[in-house]
Amino acid sequence: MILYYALTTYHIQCCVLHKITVNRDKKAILLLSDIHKNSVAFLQRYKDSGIFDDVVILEESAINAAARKSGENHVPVSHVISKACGSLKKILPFKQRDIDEYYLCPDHFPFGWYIIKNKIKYHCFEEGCGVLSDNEFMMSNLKRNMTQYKIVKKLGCLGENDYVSEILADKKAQKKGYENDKMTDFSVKGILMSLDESDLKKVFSFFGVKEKIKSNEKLSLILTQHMANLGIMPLDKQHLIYQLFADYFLNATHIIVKPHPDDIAGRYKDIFTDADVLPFAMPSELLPFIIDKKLSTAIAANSTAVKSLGDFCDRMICFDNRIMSDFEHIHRYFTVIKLIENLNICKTVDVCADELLFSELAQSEKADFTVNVTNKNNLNGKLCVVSDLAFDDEEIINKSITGRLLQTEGTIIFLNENNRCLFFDGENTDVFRKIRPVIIKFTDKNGIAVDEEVIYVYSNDENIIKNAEQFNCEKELKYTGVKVNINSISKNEAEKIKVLEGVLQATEQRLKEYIKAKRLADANN
Amino acid sequence: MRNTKRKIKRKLKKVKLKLLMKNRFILEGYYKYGDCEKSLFRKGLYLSTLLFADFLNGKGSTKTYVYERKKYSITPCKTAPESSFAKRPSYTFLSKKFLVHDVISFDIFDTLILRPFDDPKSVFFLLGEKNKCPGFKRYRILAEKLARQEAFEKNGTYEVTLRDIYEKLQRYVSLDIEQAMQYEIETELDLAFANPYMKQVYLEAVNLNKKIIAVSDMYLPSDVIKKMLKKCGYDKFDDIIVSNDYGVSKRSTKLYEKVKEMYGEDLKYIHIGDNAVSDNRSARKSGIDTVFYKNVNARGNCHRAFDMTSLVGSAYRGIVNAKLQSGFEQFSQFYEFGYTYAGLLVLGYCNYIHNYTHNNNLQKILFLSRDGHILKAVYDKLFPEDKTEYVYWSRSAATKLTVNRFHNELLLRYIKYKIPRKMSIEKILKAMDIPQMITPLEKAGFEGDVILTSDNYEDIVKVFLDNKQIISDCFKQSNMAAKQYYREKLGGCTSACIVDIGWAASGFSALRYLIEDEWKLGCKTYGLVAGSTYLHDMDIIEPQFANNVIDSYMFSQRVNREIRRDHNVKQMYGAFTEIMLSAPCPSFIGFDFDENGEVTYSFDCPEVEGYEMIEQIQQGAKDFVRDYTEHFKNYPYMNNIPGCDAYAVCRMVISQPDYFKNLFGDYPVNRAVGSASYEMGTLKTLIENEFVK
Repeated sequence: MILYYALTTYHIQCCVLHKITVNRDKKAILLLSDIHKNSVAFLQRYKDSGIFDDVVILEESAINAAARKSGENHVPVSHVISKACGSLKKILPFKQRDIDEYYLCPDHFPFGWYIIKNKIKYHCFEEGCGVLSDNEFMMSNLKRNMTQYKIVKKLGCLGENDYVSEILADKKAQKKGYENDKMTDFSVKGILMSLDESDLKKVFSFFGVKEKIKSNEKLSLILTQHMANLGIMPLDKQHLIYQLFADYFLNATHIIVKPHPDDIAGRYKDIFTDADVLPFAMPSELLPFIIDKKLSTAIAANSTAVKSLGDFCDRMICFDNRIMSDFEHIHRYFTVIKLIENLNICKTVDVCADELLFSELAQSEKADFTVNVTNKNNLNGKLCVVSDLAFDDEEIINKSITGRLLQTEGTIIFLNENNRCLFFDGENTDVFRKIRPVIIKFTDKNGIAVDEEVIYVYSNDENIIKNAEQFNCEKELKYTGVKVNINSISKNEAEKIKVLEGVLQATEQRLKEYIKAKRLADANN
Repeated sequence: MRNTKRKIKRKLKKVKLKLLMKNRFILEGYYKYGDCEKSLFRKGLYLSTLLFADFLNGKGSTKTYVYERKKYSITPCKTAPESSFAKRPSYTFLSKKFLVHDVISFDIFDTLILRPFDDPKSVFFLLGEKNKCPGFKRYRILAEKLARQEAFEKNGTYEVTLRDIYEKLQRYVSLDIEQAMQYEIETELDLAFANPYMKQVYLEAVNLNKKIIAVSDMYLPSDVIKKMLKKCGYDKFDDIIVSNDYGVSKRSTKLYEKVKEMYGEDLKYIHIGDNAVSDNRSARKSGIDTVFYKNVNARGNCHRAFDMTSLVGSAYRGIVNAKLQSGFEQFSQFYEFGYTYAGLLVLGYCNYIHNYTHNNNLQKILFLSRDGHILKAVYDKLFPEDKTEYVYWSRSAATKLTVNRFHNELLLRYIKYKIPRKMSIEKILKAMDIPQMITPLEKAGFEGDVILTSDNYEDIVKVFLDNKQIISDCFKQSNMAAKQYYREKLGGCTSACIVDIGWAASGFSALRYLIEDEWKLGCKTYGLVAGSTYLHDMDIIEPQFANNVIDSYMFSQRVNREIRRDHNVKQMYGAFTEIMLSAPCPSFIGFDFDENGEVTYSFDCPEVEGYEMIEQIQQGAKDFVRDYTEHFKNYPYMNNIPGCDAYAVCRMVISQPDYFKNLFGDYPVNRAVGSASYEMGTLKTLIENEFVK
């Protein structure tokens, strides 16, 4: 009998595909580690699929945790391994003599330690697609758990020991020139493409996919990340980021949501009521096979997973780490793009802000201008977009920034994310003659105002100022549940109020900075 | 000889009294135990011990008698937000946990559903009012006890139904059972609200397509509980299992066994609840995994005030505990300060203002700056139909505008109180905004650079008194602007209520004189303060109280006198209370006209570094008022918060200088308001300099 050992969804997928293609007629059991809860949760479905003769749980999470704790308490690695293997032997849910072949995916958790320690020959799958040739990457990842890192080094896990008879890895995905005598080509993508319809159906049902997604509309895909799980942001913010993505980038498309395998808490069925939400415990490699046609857009926050979709989508959108805070300012970026289109000043915009967000949004809005990433010290273009976040506190306090900015002959649009009012140095009130605020108002479904943001347009050209005054537009954000109304105001009472608010905010901000600086100086003295 | 003895005796008695009167700790301690029939020596020894104990331990001073100080286990969270201590498992963690279970079971009361009381029995107070039955709470508790005892004797279980309880209630009071039961059901339905944290947990369970059940040990009928859950947004339960339907309880594990029988022994169950025994221990005994969600009130009550009336106190604690201890959200300490301490004062005071103005048929309410800022915002939300105005006013503006009548105030505030600051005549005149006085002062031999001292004070004052007309002329324009401003604000009304925080009602007294006598605006004014006490003259507004022109919400010479005694001005109770009602705007200085004849306003140096804190405090207070009034929207009398309750909550923190030192150490304090000084102190330095131990 063959034994497959798997941990994550990707690992299970490898085992499933290997069983179907290589060991189809052989008896096999799937041993699932309880370290990864997602795997354990669908035990019954895995059993019912009939792909394996049996699916059993190996309760090794406690052993793994105990080993980690021992390592942290400076117990020698050899002792940790012995103890773990001893404990594991007691809980093995199968008889060793029944097993003829072992396929481990992966071999760097307690079961793998046990196999290597007991000098049992086994086949090993690479940890992730193309990871075999990137040992450094793997090892650096493992350093988060130093005990495991030391064990891996000592035992030669990840296929680097004498008991591995074969390493199953995607040859094409390895680094150029990488050679390994034990490597056998095992391409998940390739195997999936080669499967016939009935085998594909088996795989789909194994992972809980009920039917293929078909739609007459254009299809778009959101690949989520588990930010709340990692403590990067609360769950409601995590939901908001994808709501905003859907509202600003996936207009007029049928949305498909593929939650990250660890994004268990995300409640996308509630948020995207008309969307198809795929099971989180489904490997993303299956996506091209369960979606009827090519995707028009695939979007992720900052996960490169979206890139693995390759030719399966027309447009891939992926930001960098800045999106984790900039997504809350997306309305300002949208307003700027609409305003630039309206002002029609030039065809190139210098951007000293989150240029990725700006460009992608401009592309979604089919804006007719090109984006030029510029340095904060070189804002000489005809039209510049400036973010508060591009400047540090010191630059703002010593006023150098305001003077430098306003030397330009062109037009500047201030995103004003932190209400820093960069155009005002606290003294030169003449600047207000060249400034127009553009107000972004948010109303809820009942038309009740919920929030307000202000961006500012600065220009020496009176026509541009006049055009800015007449600018207005609106956008309904279906998934976010708010309506955005954008208006500028002319020289009337409202403007006066808004300008004075700006002056006051800037003055207060400056005062605060002075006070902070003074306190710091006092403390240093 | 006899006379000498008598004299010595009298002297000793005086000394003894003086020592006894030193503070209440000694006074009460002595008369409780030391003044029995004991020998003079033993009496003396006892008194010396008390004095020594007082000397050794600061806690033995008058402040011991602040209620919360006696209860050492009750303290505000001083170092970090209270909500940050409510460490509940994250939704993502629970989702993972749920993943490996087939049936997710929830306890209902105090887990899924909360009530706006820290003790569920407080609901019986409201029932007592509905049934017009004094002592109903006690009867209802006794009836339940009786019913449970009888059930145990009959069936071997303590499980009872609502009807069983009400049948037993007839033993104490003859009520229409159906009507009374209906009252209880509708009240429970009225008050129940979803625990925001548990709502998210529940949604996670729904999202995972798990079987979701609710299990409760409760006497209410299951259809009522279903309605309650539905009202709170829990509408996707597979089953709601209530103990009285089955005659067995969770506590005895039998209800869990029933559940397992219903759904299958081989499934994996997880139960979430707040009771350590029935939701945790008993569930585990039945082979069910558990998540123990410690009761919000058990966690929060160690930080709450208790020296309050039973009904309002329970409601206050229940609402604050639900907010800060549910684990749904973490707040800043400033927000929590507003929510926990300022909210009840603001709500109670606003309601008091409303009742006062309506009882006296007053047409308009003027909220004086800056304390009136939050009061007006909240008042307008509570009573949108009332006419209110936020008006600019301050002590320094009042001093200048009423100089024709109360000139001594000007001399005290701008001259006498400035002696320790060693200011020059020129600077003082600048601060007073009367540069014209330099000529008469120079004539009297006081050049601009002469420093004000206690030696030349009386001579300088004499010059001012001899030139009252010049001073009056200086403030004439400002006075006219103020008159125009207030005429517009009063809008022709003939009676108005002027609201300030306290403490000597000087703001109101000045405005009253101006509006009624000097400006003759035809409007009778009444003043309201949150509390009344004035260190230098306790009876400063006694006749105004007697004449019903001024009233006080929390305490004064006339109401809650014991609170007034506790309100320790030297320990900055007043200053700390004012922080609760602070506003994110600078202090007002005065009125003037611009070139177009429009009224202009001038302000003192803005204390910007405090604005962020203040905005959070205000938000906290507003949210408390919103939550409280929302919970009791069908019980408007719950808004009648006695002044002593509002004060008990305030006292919880204002008696803790360390709390303010930690939290508001950097809070800006302008000790030179009215002198346009840009030198800003902090509360920490103020406490260090002015707090009298």
